[in-house]
Amino acid sequence: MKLELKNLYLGFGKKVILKKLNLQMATGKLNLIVGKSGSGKTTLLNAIAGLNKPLEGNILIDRVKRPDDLKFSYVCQNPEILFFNKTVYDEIAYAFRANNVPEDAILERVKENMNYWWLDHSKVAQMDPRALSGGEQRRVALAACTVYQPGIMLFDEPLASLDSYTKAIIVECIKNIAKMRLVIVVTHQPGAFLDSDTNVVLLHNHEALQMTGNDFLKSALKNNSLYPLPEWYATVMEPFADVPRELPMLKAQEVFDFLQAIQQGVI
Amino acid sequence: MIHFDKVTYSYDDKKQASFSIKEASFTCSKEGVVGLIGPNGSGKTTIAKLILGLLRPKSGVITIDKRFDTYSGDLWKQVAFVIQNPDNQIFGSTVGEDIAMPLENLGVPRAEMTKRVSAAADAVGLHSRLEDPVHTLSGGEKQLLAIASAIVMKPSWIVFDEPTSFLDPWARENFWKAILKVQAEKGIGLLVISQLSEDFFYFDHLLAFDNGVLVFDGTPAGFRKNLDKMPWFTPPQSWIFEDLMAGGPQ
Repeated sequence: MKLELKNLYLGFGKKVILKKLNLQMATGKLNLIVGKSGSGKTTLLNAIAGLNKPLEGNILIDRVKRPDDLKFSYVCQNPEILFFNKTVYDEIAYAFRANNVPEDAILERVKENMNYWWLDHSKVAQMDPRALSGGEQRRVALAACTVYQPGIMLFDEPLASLDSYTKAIIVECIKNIAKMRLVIVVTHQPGAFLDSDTNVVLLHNHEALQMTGNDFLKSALKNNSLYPLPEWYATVMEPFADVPRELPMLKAQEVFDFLQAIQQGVI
Repeated sequence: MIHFDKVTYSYDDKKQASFSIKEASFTCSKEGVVGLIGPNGSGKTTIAKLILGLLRPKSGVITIDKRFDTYSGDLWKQVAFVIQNPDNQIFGSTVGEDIAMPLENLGVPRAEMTKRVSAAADAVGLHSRLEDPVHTLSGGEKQLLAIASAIVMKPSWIVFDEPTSFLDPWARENFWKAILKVQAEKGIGLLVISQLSEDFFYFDHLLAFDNGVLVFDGTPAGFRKNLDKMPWFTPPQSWIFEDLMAGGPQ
């Protein structure tokens, strides 16, 4: 699946928040939207979801205008505040029931999706979702929002307020979904998701810069007003901002291996 | 000073949380920033609610500045609370109205109210925004507004529950600048719950909870030496990098 934004202008009334957006996102690579608070990240996500009407321009899905009945999942910020069922099972089964899927067909798919998000069906399915820990609640919300498995899945700050263990699980799960579906993630923690070929959309000064994960790091090393990288990484990698090869991602081991390779003359 | 002496707590309604706080004893001074860390479901927010007096211990005593304990119901006057999402604690239509709201509720005379609102806005750099509608503030500015609404009450302590989790890196830096300035100028104690490794570098005193048990009470340097006892904690990448460069164990 391919999503194209053509000369898109977004805003409210006369206030333009984002202008001249010409972007492509596709299944296979994770699409990250990053930028300052107020730069329009959620506005862009809402436009793709069809919740904001563009002021100008077009959104195309597989080269045709975005259909009004486009099927998508949207995991909003703090999605667990939307829990409204008595049990975890009912919460996750809701999308099927709302679409009149027979009950006997639902069980396996709910179990399968709970398993995918590292939730033990036998332990938590009959629990009140609000009684779970913050990390479990987030995974229940993600399971509930993604269980219908549409072609497009949108995630707004899925890692906020989570411990490192839960973050690692969720990053892995989202990255795997991105291999098969068009996944767009808005985040203030890009380091957790970033790979050299990640499709990064950086919102800056009302416009969008589209680049690979590798180019994002190089651009941010050269100009930290674009995006402030962690201090340890910026300090160590700043001299290599212009090297004609891929940089290590924001992981200590990768940076260490990179420096070792330089020292040994491999690079 | 916040002092917990053998404080226990468990939720009567097991649907709320299945863990309990088991005989927690610790002392926090106002010097430096106290970080309260632990995995999801470890009891961090429960500890915050006990400090605020929103929950009462099943046993043990909580003392703040040697004067108040939970049983007097006075803790709320000593401690202000800033939550994760500032949108959930903003009630006024303008910045000035929002900061003034707790004072209005207490019937503080108008002249004093104006003075205190102005000083609180000044402390976090929002003085020029007093007349602005709250919806025109960015996420980071809303968090600063929540801090102003806390300090206007002249609390002894401010407890922050995941204050930076929805902030961008720029706003996170501004948040820390603002609260460190507030501490230096007003002598307010700061206790911050956070899961972000970036916040870790601002902590001077760490309290770590795991499944309701206080598993560490000490300095970040001491914590770093005891990482093997905290399997739930993923060290910041900068620590891992330093260890790799030093040839240390991972």
